[in-house]
Order: sequence, then structure tokens, then C-alpha cells
Amino acid sequence: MSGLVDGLAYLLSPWPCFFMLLGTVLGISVGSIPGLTGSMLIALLLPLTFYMDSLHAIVLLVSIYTGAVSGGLISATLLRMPGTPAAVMTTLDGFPMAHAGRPGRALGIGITASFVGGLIGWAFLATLAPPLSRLAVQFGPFEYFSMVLMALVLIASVGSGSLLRGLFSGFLGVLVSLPGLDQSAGTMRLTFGFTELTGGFHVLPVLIGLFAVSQVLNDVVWIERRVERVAFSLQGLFLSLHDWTAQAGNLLRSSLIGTWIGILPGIGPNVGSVVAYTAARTLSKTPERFGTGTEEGIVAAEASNNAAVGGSLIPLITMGIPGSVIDALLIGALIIHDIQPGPLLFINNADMAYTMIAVCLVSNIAMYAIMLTAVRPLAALVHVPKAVLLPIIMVCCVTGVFAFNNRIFDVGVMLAFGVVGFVLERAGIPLAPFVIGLILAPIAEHHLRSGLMLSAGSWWPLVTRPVSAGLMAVSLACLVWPIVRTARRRFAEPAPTAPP
Amino acid sequence: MDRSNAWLDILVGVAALGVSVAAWVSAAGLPPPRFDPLGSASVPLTVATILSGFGVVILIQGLRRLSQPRPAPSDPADRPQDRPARLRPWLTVAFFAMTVAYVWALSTERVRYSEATAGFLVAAGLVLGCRRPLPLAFLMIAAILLGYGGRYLFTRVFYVDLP
Repeated sequence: MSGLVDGLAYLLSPWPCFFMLLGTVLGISVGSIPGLTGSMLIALLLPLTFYMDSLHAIVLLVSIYTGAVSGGLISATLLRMPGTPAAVMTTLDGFPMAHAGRPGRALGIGITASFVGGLIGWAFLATLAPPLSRLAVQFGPFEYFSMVLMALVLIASVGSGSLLRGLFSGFLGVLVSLPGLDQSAGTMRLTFGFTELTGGFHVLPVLIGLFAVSQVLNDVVWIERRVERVAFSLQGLFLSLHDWTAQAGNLLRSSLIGTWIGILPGIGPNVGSVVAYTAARTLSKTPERFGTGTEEGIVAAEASNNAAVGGSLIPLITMGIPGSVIDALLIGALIIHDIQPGPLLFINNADMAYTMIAVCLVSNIAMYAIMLTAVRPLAALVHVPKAVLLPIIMVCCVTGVFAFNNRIFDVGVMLAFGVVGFVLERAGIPLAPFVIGLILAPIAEHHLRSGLMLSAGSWWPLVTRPVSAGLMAVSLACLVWPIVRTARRRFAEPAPTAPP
Repeated sequence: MDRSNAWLDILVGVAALGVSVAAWVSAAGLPPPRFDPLGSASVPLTVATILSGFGVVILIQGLRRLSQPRPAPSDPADRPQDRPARLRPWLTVAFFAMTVAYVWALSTERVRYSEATAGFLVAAGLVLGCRRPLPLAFLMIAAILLGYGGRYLFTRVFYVDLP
């Protein structure tokens, strides 16, 4: 508890407070511009954080995370275009309500639900992270390997798209993590004669390529996309006590769903909002009103995606497993600053762990205040011309990656992975498993090899140690369930009859 | 997934197969393990094998989709005037080519970072359709700020050399 108080006190000092406010404003702004995402901004800012104090850097990045997830609701409501993927369910009811002449009301409900969801997610983060971390310290190499495997399988099977494409993406990420010096044996592998690959692909150019460059290319393809706009007004932005109590049950349920989905390794706010929205519609007395501008739909979507932020930080802080794509980027940021995320974070860098927890709360409060007071200028941001924005982002990508190592090779790697990310997304192959594979594969290989050395080459501990066996069982179930489900659906479908 | 994505699947499948084979051949030449049961080669060989399997499946999916009949021309979704927006693949290619040229110019060190960046920003903005006076003026200011201000920031504040 004293660690958390210290973390909160630290955030009130001038520089951390400045970076927290800056991150929140940047996150909201980027989240509100369609086509720009929080992961893109965090990837872009990673090279700059290299020159910052590590605590300041993490304050900035976590604040961006909180801001970006919330900011997506502005364009989702006013343009029917989710500013971030997590706001996709908000478009279903936010835009119809705004279109019906109540944009202020739609935004007010969304902002309030985001705030409450964020608070509930944070409460779970603050109470669960320290004890879970103490539990995770007991894990051996086999448990760690099983957990990483489960994260990979979970994100491939529960995320959007087919299981096959998710797994393909994950294994591609694993392959990209392999080139360079094998630290266990001291041999070079998969360098193909390139001396620049001695240290492997650095995470930074790969991430910026995948999330920033590919997004810019995708935005250029869609640069002529027409959008339907609604007239903006602030009427109904502030909610009455009756509004709060009327949505209390929905707020709590959706926040709990979002937190739980966030805790599951590899799955983030995007899936959380879909599940919470579906649950709200199923349990609603008026399910037929969903999709036509109902308040329940906006509350469910926004409360859950913000609750998932706190939830997804739990596996990151306690086990070093990313709860979402942005968490994978945060792990990258910690690694850049020579900080190893995982159970030892609370022991070796307790100030970092508690600052992350504290900033999640304070930036959420800042987000609520900023969005309520500055929603009008934020709403104007959604109309920034792409022809101006995209070249500027590309220059930031090139400069940031070059400055990180002073190597033009890294810029080439970034551009190459930009094309890879663009092609994969166009082919319906999700990028999230790629990043999880890229970040977690070295950890998984290291633990597997350590475990096998301890067990004299025996694989049995993977299934004889209870925690490892449980995690392996979850992985197996996640792999088998989609196949069983598809087979059952095919079996249940009536055979087509021949025309007379 | 519609038929138009079939070629993308084929491209991804072939590329995955190529990368897997290259990784497999490279990993197969690694020395056998001395200290640990797995050694350096096991993981790359396993991952390359699995990835090639996925690549084959995606390739087959692409080929199967390609063999499906084209949708009827009367299908409203196939009429250009009914599409929500015109896609600009060649504009994307042109923009990416300009970026590659910008990076190449930086790598030769014949052009200074400030001039190359300012030039790239204005040229890319014009190619992407930034023609109205206000956005164009904003772009020019951004070009000067990022080009000359960026150089100042990195070389004088962060002490990082830029080309």
C-alpha cells in the first residue's frame, strides 16, 4: 500500500505530472483521429523515450494508452469511424444517437462510462497485481513456458479472424525473433551473412514498421474514403445522478467483463468491448433497441474497453505477459530501458511497478476532466486532412528509428515490416499474435531450454507439474474448441436439397 | 474474404514457404547441441516446419478461392459507383516509393537531413492531394519545423547525428 501511495505522490511532482497530462492529451487526440491508433503513437514515441528517465517514459506511455482507448469514442460517435479498434462497438449506438440530434449526450455517456470502467479496471489492478506477482515468483521454467504458449494460443484463438491465420501470424513473429546470437549456446543463427543481424531484429523498427508504417500505407489506400458527419453540440454532455444510477448495473457488469478479458494474456480492449456489448444486449429488457442509438450499448462498449486497460496491465506487471498489443509495446519500452518485466519487477523495480499502477488511475481521472472540458476542440481534430498528417507521421517514423541506433539498416527493416504488416492485414491475418510471438518467443525458448537442462532432457514436467499442466490444458482446449465448434456447426446444418 | 483477396493469400503462402525453407536450410547447418538438450537449431527448425505447413494451407485456400466463379456483373457490390470509396493502391505504391527514395537520399549523405525532409514532406503532401491553400501552408510550416527543427533537436539536444 505504501508503494502505491509513493507512486501517487511521485505523479504529483512537476515532471511526472507534466508527462502524465501530455500523454493523456496526446492519447486522446490520436485516438480521436480515425486511422491513427494508440499503438501507432506509442511505437512512434518509443525512440524518444530512450532519452528520457525510465519512470517518466512509462508515465508518458501508460497515459497515452489510457487516453487513446477513450479518445476513440469521439470519431466513433461523430463520424461512425472508430478512432481506435477498441471503439468499434461504440459506433453501433453512438453514431445513431448523434445522428438523431444528441451528439453531446452520446459523448457524455461514453466519456462517463470510460471513466467508471477505467476506475474499476484500476481497482482490480491495484488489488490483484502485488499478490499475483508474489505467486508468479514461485513459477519455474516449465510454468513460464506453458504460460507463454497459452498467451500465444489464446490470442490466436480468441482474437478476430480464423485460428489458422492467428497461429500463422504468431509463428511468423516467433521466426522473426530468432535471428542473431543464441545466448544459451553462443552460436549465430539465421543471420544469412548480414553482420547487422548479429543482435537480431531490434524490436523497435519491427514494431514501428508493423503498427505505424503499415497503418500509414493503409490510410493512403483509403484516403478518398467519404465520411458522414453530424452537427456537433454539447447539450447533454454532463449526466445527472439519475443517469448514473440507471446505468449502474450495466456499468459494473461491462467493467467486470472488460477487466476479465483484459487479464487474459494477449486479448485486449477490442475483444472486451465486443463481449460486454453482446452481454448487455442479451440481458437487456429492450434488446431490439441496440444498434439504433441506445445508451446501454454505448455504456457497455466504453466501460469495458477502458476497464480492459487496467486488466491487461495485470499480466504485464505480474508475469511479463502482454495483455494486449499496446502492452507488448510497453514491454518493449521496459526492455529498451533495461527493465525486465515479470514477477521480479516488484522486487527489483518496485518504484516502476507502483508508478504504472498509479498512473493508470491518475491518467484516467485526467482523461475524464480533459474530455469533458475540451471535447469541442477534440471533435475538430477528427477532420485533420490525411494528406498533411500521413507524410509527417512517415518522417517521424524514419527519424525516430534512425536516431535510435544511427543505422540506416534499421530504417530499411522498418519499411520492410511496414509492407509485411500492410500485406498481412489486407490478407485478413491479425498483427496482434505476431507481436506477442515476437516479444514472448525469446522468453519461452530461454525457459524451455533451462527447464530441459534441469530435468535432464525430460519433457514430462510440462504435464506433471500442476500449474504447467493446467496451462497446457487451457492451450489445448483453445486449440481444439474452434475445430470442434466448426465440426458441430457443419453437422447441424441441413444438407442442401437438389432443385426439382 | 472475397475472391479479390485470393492473390494476397497466394502471395502470403508463397512468401511464408520461401522464408520457412530459407530458415530451415540455415538452421539445419547449425552445430549439434553440446550443453543443453535442445541446442540452437531445434526451435528454428520446428518453427520453420510449422510455418511452412500454415503457408501451404493459406496457399491452398488462395488457390481454391481463385478457382471460384466471379460474381455476376449485375451484383451491386461490384459496380464502382456503388462502392463506398475508391481505393488508391497506386497512390500507396507512389507514396511508398517516395519514402524509399527519401531514405535512400539520407543514406547517401549527399543531401542534408533538413532539406531532404522538407522536400519529402511537401512532395508527398502534394502527391496525396494537399492542394488547398490552408492545409498546404500548414504542410510547409511542418516541413520547415520538422526538417530544420528536427535536425536541431536531435543534434543539439539528444546529441544524435543525423545525415
